[in-house]
Amino acid sequence: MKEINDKGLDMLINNVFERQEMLEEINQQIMKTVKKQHRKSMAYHRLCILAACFGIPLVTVFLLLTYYKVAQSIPDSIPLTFSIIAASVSLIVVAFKSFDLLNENV
Amino acid sequence: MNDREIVERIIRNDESQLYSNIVSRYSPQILSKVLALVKRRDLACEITQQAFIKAYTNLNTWRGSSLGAWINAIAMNASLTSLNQEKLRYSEPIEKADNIEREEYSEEREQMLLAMEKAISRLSETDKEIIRLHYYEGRKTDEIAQALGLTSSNVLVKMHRIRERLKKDLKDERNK
Repeated sequence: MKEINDKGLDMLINNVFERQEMLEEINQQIMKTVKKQHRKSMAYHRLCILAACFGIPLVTVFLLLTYYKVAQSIPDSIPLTFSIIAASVSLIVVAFKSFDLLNENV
Repeated sequence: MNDREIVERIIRNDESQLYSNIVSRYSPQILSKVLALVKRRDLACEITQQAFIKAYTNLNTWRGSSLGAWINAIAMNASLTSLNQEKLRYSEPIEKADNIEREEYSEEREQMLLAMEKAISRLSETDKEIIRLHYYEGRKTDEIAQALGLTSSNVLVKMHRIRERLKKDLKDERNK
């Protein structure tokens, strides 16, 4: 560091205070945004939990009910059996994936 | 706590409040560099904020190299993008704009600022207030004396001593 004269010292002190004020403001703004983002992501994950806990059982019930109703009117239908198997498999995959996501984030 | 530990705790335990340690660790240097590049205080503040927020959002992509350098790279990219946008917006080159402050970044100046910050932080609360009122708010001795309940001569003596002490601290830091 080089030698500093009186004028330079005055300016340096002034710059330190100016910078401190700027930094304080910046730090506050950053932390405010970070907290906001954190709250948002927490709310999103809670929504995901709700969707996983209530959405998947609801879809399952709806699927089974539809199958029951259609099976009553068309007994022993092969396309119906295949479609219900396909729907069940995709439901299981979705359930596993959403629980995986929840495990990662919660 | 080092950077890696802080980042791991933020990602794994959701301790977002720990990010303030990272911000206070790197924001002075990054602000100085951005300010030297864009030459406008308001824009420099905005870019520094954006860079830290972007870094926070993408913390899981940080590969474990120097965190300061990583955030600095984000800030420099944002500064250059902003400069390009400004140049497109105005026909006049940004260097010739009226309300800009010309501050060049140098490691030496940064060290001097840090040394002065350290020296000021070692002062008593009254002394800090005296120099803040005088150098930052530009108040006169009488006004400072009135604000702090001291006599004018007392403030003058104190200011002289504070200056000498700061000078000495700066010199000691230089000799280290």
